[in-house]
Amino acid sequence: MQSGIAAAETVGHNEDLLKQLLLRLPARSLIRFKCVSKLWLSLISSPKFCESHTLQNPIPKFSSATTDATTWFISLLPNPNLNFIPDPQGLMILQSCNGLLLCTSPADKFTISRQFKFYVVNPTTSRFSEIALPPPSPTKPEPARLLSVALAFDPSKSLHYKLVCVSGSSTVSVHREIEIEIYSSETRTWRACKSAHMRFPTIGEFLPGVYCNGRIHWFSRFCWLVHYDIDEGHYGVVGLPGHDFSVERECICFGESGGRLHLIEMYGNGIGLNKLHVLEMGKDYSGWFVKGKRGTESSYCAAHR
Amino acid sequence: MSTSTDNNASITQESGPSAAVQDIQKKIVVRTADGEVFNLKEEVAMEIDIIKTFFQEDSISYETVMPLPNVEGWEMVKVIEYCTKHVELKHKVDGYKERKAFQALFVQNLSTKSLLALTNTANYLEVKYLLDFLCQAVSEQIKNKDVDYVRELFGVENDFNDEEYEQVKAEAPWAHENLNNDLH
Repeated sequence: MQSGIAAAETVGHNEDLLKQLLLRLPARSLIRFKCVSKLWLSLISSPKFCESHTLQNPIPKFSSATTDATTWFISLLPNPNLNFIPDPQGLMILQSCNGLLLCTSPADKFTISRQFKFYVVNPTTSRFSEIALPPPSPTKPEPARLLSVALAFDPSKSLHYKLVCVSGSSTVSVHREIEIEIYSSETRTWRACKSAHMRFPTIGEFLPGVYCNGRIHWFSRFCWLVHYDIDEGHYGVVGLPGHDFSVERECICFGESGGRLHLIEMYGNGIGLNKLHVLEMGKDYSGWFVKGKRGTESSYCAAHR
Repeated sequence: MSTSTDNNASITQESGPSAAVQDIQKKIVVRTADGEVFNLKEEVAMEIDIIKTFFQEDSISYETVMPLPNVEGWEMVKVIEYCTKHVELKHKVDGYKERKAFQALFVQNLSTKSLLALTNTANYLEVKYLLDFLCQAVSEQIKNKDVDYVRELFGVENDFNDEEYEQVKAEAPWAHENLNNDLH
């Protein structure tokens, strides 16, 4: 239909109308359509457009799974690779948060220290930022140990992200002096928060965090968790109710899904870990509620939604 | 603006009982680019902002036939169809399922090119909810298509040279895989 063709061409060159169409496309299609023409490339790449698109398209949430300081995630993108980040040592993904990844390039899987570079990556746009941790304060009596670096990003609230860096005094107790520093991608600076004497769920190894509803959460293998409110600066500790040491339990996966914290645990009673249940943290950290159970052994599942 | 002298235009008032019926159902008349004339119920016509502005803000008499030189007859038919349904569903409490079923049928026999033409028309006529729906429908249809298809659909020329194109493509080669180029 002749008029159809003419009209289609009009849309193609009518920037406002084209933008309305493009805003409704998923990220993968948009990235592909950057190749259509120079106009389309400039439209799609413009920061204003990216902002509008992020606000209009809720990013699918996929949780970060953490067990014993090894982390993995299941991506909803087909075959993302991080080759665009030049780092000879290779990257390890620590955490994912609403579409952004926190990565580092450690010398080995188990040693993560302050000297390492941390990257915040957007695998969809292949853009990343390299962030160095603030050096330990010279006034501190003993060198602080890096306990965690966690990413906080909520596009529904702000297009800027924060990094939370937790250091603590070297000790064999989980109760110790904790120092928290927060990096803002908006100001590109770190600020130190008041240090506190508190429990932190690791004795020395690096623990990734999980962001949910304005707080960072750290989960201990002994099944209690600490949550820290980034804006207000206060923290809380939540224990697993009915924690019975006679029941063997192992946390398979701890993450965020649909705005709530979830925990997938395997447990058993002497014979082996052969039951699985999914727990959800109640509002106001009232406690874990069982959402579902499975009686048979099952494989790891990290993407729950 | 001269009053249409077409047989289709039945705007002149007649005396008698039928006049009462006609008064209730005020009609607005438009003429599209191909010379077709359409009688719209007032409530449907007022869904179309460009028409609403023409008659209400400028206080032009309903006897005037409004020209729509950028709209084809078939497009007007579809716009009227959608707006009529929209008005009908406005009065229903739970029209969600019905709306979805209607929308599916609405796009069923339209090619993507036609949908795109309609999008342009909805934009020109200023019917926001129709424009939103059509943009969504078009994006659904093109999201898994490749770059060549999109260029052809929109009549856009490739102004990249080979090197530039490869460079942009190399940023995310995975975005160009697993596509579906079935003709729509």
